[in-house]
Amino acid sequence: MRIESFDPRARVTFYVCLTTVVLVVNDLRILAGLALLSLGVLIYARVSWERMRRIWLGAIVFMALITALNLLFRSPVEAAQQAMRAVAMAAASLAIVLTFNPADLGITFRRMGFPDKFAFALDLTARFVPTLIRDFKITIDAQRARGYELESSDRSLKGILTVGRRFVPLIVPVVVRAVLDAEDRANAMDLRAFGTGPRTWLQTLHLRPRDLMLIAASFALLAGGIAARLLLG
Amino acid sequence: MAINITHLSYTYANRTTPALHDVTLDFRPGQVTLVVGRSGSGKTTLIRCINGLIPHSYKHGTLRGEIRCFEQSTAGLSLAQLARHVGTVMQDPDKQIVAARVLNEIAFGLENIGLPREQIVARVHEAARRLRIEHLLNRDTHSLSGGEQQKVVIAATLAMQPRALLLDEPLASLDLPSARAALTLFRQLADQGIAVILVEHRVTEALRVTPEHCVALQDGTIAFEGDSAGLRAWLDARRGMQEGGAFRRLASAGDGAPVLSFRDVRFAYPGASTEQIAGVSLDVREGDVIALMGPNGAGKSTLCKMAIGLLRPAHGRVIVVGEDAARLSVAQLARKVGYVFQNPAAMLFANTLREELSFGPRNVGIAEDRLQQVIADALETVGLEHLSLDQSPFGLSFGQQKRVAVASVLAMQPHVLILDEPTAGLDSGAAEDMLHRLLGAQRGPRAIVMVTHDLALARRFANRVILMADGRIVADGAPSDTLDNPTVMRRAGLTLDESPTYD
Repeated sequence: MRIESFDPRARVTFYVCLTTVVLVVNDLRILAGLALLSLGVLIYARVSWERMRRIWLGAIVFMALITALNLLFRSPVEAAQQAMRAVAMAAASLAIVLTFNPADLGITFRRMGFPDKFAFALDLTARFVPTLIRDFKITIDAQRARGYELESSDRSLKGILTVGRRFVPLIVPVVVRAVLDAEDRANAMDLRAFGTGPRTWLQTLHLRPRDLMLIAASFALLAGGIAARLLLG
Repeated sequence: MAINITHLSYTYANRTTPALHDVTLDFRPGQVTLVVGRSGSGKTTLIRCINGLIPHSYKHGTLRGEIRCFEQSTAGLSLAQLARHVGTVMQDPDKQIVAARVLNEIAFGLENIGLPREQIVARVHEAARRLRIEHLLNRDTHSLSGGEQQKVVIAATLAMQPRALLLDEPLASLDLPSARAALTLFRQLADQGIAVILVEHRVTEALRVTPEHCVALQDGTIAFEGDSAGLRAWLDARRGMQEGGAFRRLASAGDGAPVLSFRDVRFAYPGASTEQIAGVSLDVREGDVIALMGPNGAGKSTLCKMAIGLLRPAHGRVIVVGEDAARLSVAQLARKVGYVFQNPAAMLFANTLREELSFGPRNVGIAEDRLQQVIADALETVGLEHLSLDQSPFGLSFGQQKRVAVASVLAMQPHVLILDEPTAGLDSGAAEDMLHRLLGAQRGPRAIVMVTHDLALARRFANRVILMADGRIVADGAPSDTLDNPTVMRRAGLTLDESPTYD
């Protein structure tokens, strides 16, 4: 039984409850447990290392920075708390986000009670992330063909600022194109009667007993987390 | 009558001249109407008036006259009501697709009008079957090719069961076989009783479906209305008037020393099971104007990207002006090979034309004291010398932006200029004017390679046509030896173009 076989609403509920508890609880033992739970979910999700590698590298750098700052300015306990939180959040996010079918995004939130337009906005986001990535790659190629090089050997603050400025030829075309294309897309949606009345959603979702159990467990986790915060501080 | 337009005029907000002026037209069920005209002649405005985007989405302009759609005045109809009668396929299918999966894309309009789920499923499968794309239903839309996207968009429009179909330059992003397949489909739809209104720059191709009704727009008014034969005669007469100044080819076409060479080049994208370039050898010589042609996926763009180092061959050598490209960075190669991408929006970023046009020359080390001159020369070559250098490139029309993109690469003074689809999105007059100027420029590039699907362009401007298929060169020779040779054209996955050209 794979994680994808659970109803997406159950998965989203579990994720929201888990991350809320991770943010609310301060007890180090509970945080360590939550980090282990999240890592367990990530293993269960069977996401390939190749897909996660870059994200983990970024997360580890972030975690190291947060931990170091807490060690310097606060206490070792707080540093450990933040490290546990970061591990739990990163693992849970990777497990849920990377196994989520983008085509299910809209219907999931619609069936959770969000309005049609909000739900479809999420569908549109899922549709356009790959398009933005593709446009960005084309722009990189187009600017490199104009002799553009991003790399700078200057490691000083001025050098870093220069590198920042040098992103402008990459960012501006992609943003301008996205904004201008939005008008065409809005027209295309208007021409197919979007937003003119209640819509039918083609996809259907079905909550099965195990989905209900997961939702119940998620709320129990949330209640336990709030109780732990109130009792243990 | 399907659609009946009477004395239609429309002026966009903040404009003084009308985009359409006193247009009266009738479109009948079961007929293909071909609408032609240069950029800015009012074609797209006409489509927006018929499908209701004007005035529903373009609220601030001034609309006069009447449009009746299947005996109902469109003035009182909402977009949703109109969408049930009139389907629209826009120029760029990528901008029209809104769902992540093909199945959801075809169902989108039907979901919006609240049809029961069972009906939606039935109509989606019927539309997919009609377009023969059942195998695509579970694919992600972003993974589709241009031709597949076009079919999905048409299927999504047909699923709404429109009685009139508006097609705004549907062939623009299609290679020749896909364009001809699309045209055959449009003809079939008309034969089934749909009123098909086809706006197209590729007139030669569009005339193949023998449209019963042809309209030429000029400055927002009807300059011609009649049948296919009449349109041919009208275009012939106009061409006769325009061809006084004959085009001058580069003086030593094809006779010079090689400026770009490929030696047994091979390349495969990571994870691909077949080679995208499977052993290509060729010389681009000083004076050459080459049309590089072939179906989508033949390897044309991949080959050109290797010329500038954006891709590196897995095997073989690329030699640029006597130097092995493997030893040079992309920035170093950009001094020798200029590459203009198809869509100018991919590269324009600066606040002013001066900054935009200086970007490339500065990157390749052209001295500051020469910048002004190279920019002026480049602008003159593309016919934009009248523009102020302080104005924003984003305020220009698409055609002008395309010229700015060419000028910004020309200002880097490359030996070889590669143009990816130089006519895409331009009307034939604007495209030919730009190429005339480019080929006639005194300080222009030594050789030009055009990646194109445009047969008329290849015939008129190229001294050499290179046909590619499946990563290989299947023919390399004069346009008369390649484009007129049925065997060669078939081998390249193209069909012989035996009709006169009107693009």
